[in-house]
Amino acid sequence: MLERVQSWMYGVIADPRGVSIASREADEHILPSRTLSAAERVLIYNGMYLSRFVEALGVDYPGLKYYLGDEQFDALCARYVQKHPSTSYTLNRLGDALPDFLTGFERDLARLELAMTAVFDEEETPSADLTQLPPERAEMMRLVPIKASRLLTLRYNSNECFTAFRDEKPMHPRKQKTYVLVHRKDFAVYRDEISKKAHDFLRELFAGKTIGEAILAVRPSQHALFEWFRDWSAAGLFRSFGE
Amino acid sequence: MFGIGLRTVHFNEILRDLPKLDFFEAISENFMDSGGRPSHILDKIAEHYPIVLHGVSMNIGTSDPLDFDYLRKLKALSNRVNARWISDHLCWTGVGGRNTHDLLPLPYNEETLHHVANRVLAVSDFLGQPLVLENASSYAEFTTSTMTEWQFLAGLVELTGCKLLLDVNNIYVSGYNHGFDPKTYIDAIPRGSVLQYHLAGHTNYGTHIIDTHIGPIIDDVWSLYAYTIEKLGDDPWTLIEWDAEIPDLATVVSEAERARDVAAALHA
Repeated sequence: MLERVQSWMYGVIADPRGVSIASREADEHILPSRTLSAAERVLIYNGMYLSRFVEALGVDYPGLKYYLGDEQFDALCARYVQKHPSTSYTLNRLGDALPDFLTGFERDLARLELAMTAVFDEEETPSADLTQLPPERAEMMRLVPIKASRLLTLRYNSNECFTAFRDEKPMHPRKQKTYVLVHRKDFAVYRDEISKKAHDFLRELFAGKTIGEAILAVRPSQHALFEWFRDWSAAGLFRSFGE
Repeated sequence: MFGIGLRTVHFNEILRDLPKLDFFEAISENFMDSGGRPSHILDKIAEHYPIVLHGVSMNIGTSDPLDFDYLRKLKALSNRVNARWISDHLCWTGVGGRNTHDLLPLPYNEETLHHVANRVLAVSDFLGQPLVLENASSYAEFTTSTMTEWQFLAGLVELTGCKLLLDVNNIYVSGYNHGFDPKTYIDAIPRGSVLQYHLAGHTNYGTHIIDTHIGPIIDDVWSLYAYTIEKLGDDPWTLIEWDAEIPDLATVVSEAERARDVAAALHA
């Protein structure tokens, strides 16, 4: 009996047809109060259902919300939650499938925001001091990135657009292949736009290749290598190294 | 002991000022999966204050199986911050593997009582401590209920030895929505079963009240709190919840101070 009544109530709350289900069937399950009918009482929960998810998705995708505007964002959330209802104890996972629910610039921007959320939540891992890399064996070394890092290839200027959102300026999306390293240091999340070569080099390292193998695959200049390692060392991007 | 709910907007102020509070309550799900700044801050705060964990997703009343992945993470978090106890709500939050993330009411009858009691025992056994359950606010009652919420809670305490987190505001809200006298509810709670009280603001729409945790606590709820601690004692820890339009830390702390004053007045 409990399962039956819970399944019914879930339908009233989460199904887009909840209002009509409640108006037909609420009297069977719900008592009226002094002031509200059975349907009005159970529909209080229906009214709060979507707003909770819109709020949660708005926290994870503030740039997308800014780009779409409240009305379109709310409508997107309604469509998304209908297709991807929460199946987790945490709302943090609700938006995981949102990028793949979108296309074009919106998908690109959502991928960036999802990476930022993931990096924000990742487990803290200590950073290695890359100045301790033994020069004579450096090419044999494999570097393990900190957990709070993500490497992205974007098809639009989404990182620039996200910065515009942060600065409360209009976004001007345009097609432009960009490479972004999202990482965390001292619990702050950073978005670094990097060159294609730097991206490809990091991709090799993140895949477990040695520094020597990455150099062979990407063929960077000595100057670029020096700058990358200087920046990544300062960013605490790697947690360990070894052969 | 008087405390407030730990909220992100107060993180910096808390660590900077170390306000005069006896404890903090952390929402379990906000910290179970996060290894970032929130977890770091919680660990820092736990160095200065006792922590109690308060969950919103245990889903103790659902007809779905218990989620042991959730419980494992909850237990690990509790061990990490040395939580004094773990509480959640007497409610269900979803069914069929789907979560509404709302605290939904249960039909109060023998079937539900035994179903929930078995799950409370299983959870308490897994966590290695009695589960603490809070009475949730509710806006609907079921035709299949055969007992009141306070009879259900007393039955649950008797069957499982669980402890209670008595939310005084929720009793007021549900009393308004369902037309019962909140004092009748409090009179029926077994003395000694309560570990903690909650106090919060709400929103009155005339036809019903929604438990929004907004604004200061109203005078009627303060009066009910005084009645509650007179009946059930002031040993249970008292916590202020404020979740919407959250004001500065000092304002929330002042509500905890008021609760301290109400309790002190009883001994004057």
